[in-house]
Amino acid sequence: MSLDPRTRALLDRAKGGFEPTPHDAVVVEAALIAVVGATAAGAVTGAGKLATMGSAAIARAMAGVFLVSGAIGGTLALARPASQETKSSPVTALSSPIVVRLTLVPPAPVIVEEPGETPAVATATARPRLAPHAGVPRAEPRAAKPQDTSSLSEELALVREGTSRLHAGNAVAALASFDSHAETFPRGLLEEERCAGRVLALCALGRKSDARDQAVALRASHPASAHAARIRESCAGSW
Amino acid sequence: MNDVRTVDARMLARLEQALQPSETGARPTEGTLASFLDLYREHFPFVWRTVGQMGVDPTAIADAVQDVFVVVHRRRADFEGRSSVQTWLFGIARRVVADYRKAYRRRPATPTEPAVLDFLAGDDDALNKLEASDLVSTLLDTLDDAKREVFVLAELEGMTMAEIAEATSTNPNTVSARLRAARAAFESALLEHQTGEDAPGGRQR
Repeated sequence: MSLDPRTRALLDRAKGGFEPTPHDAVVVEAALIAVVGATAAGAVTGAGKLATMGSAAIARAMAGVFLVSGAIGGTLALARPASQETKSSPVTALSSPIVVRLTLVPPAPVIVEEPGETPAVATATARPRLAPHAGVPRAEPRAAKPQDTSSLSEELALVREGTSRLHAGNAVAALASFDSHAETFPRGLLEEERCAGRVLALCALGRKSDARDQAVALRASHPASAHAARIRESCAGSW
Repeated sequence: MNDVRTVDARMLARLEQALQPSETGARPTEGTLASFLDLYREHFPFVWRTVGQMGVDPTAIADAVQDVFVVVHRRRADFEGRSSVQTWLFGIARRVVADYRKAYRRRPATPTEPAVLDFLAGDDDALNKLEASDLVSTLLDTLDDAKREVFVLAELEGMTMAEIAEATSTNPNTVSARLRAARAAFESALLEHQTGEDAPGGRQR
């Protein structure tokens, strides 16, 4: 038997929803490189290029860890003092990943994501970084490019400030930090963490409707976000 | 059931590895790593999609995909002589998925039923891609693993019977039989989803 045409249409429509985002590709690649032993802080750099996208991805993922772990209690904080939201400066805490040289990874090209329909199945030769985002409609085209380490540090400082304030119970100040990040880095590498933080801060302020709107936006832009479980448990409800 | 702490502890451990000085001699050669990363970048979307389609929770897909490629890195020599990288990758992914689903099975998330009914009635815009993939995932959950993987590879990934046979370590005749049964089961699950809505007392939005 062959499938009913509407079932076929449903499957075709669903394909895009299973696609990874360019961010997914970068984060997994960074962690993968670490696991297979290719982090090369002292490696010969060849052309001397600093592949900031790779190190940024590590920093970005770590910021995500901070956000979630800080929100769920002290287990991870005990395991890794740097994840405590207190004394260590972001720059210090992340000095190592920022200088990691992923010498075998060329600098990431500019990612340009176009809204609208894309091929349902990525071609076998498509590079994740270049693949158009097929799964989620976005409000506007988004461009991301490798950042220098200083702007990454600034991003991280703002997001960590926000999460620290949030965990300290000062949701108003936390929201100000996240807003500041949004103004300075509207398409920053830590956009996902900022959005998740905003959801939690808005919940803390009793702004349930705003929190839900932010959660919807976060899900649209990052459907496989590591913060999904946290958001699901928040006042924003479903993911 | 997802455990955020476990997920993040795993990621944290991995990332901390990145911060440690490399052990002398443990680092792959540039050529070896470069070819591995080429393979990763080319096939990452396929592995990500199939891991999700096989039922791993979205919050655990990144970890599962990473585990797949760690195995791939360790076993690259096993690929020699095979006809398709994707069938080999899926053979690895299905074992990783089996482990992950025990801990990170996807939470049911179905779109609002009126939207489903509108879509099935011919309104293509009634469901966006995420809603459609949520519904498809829910329907895939009703299939047993043997049917599910054949259905995913044939209907969502477009593999041939021969490729699926290689990916699932079976023969093409068995694949054909499973695909027929899987299609019937999927259609039945969709019908049940619809009629469950139409019936009095069916799920409400």
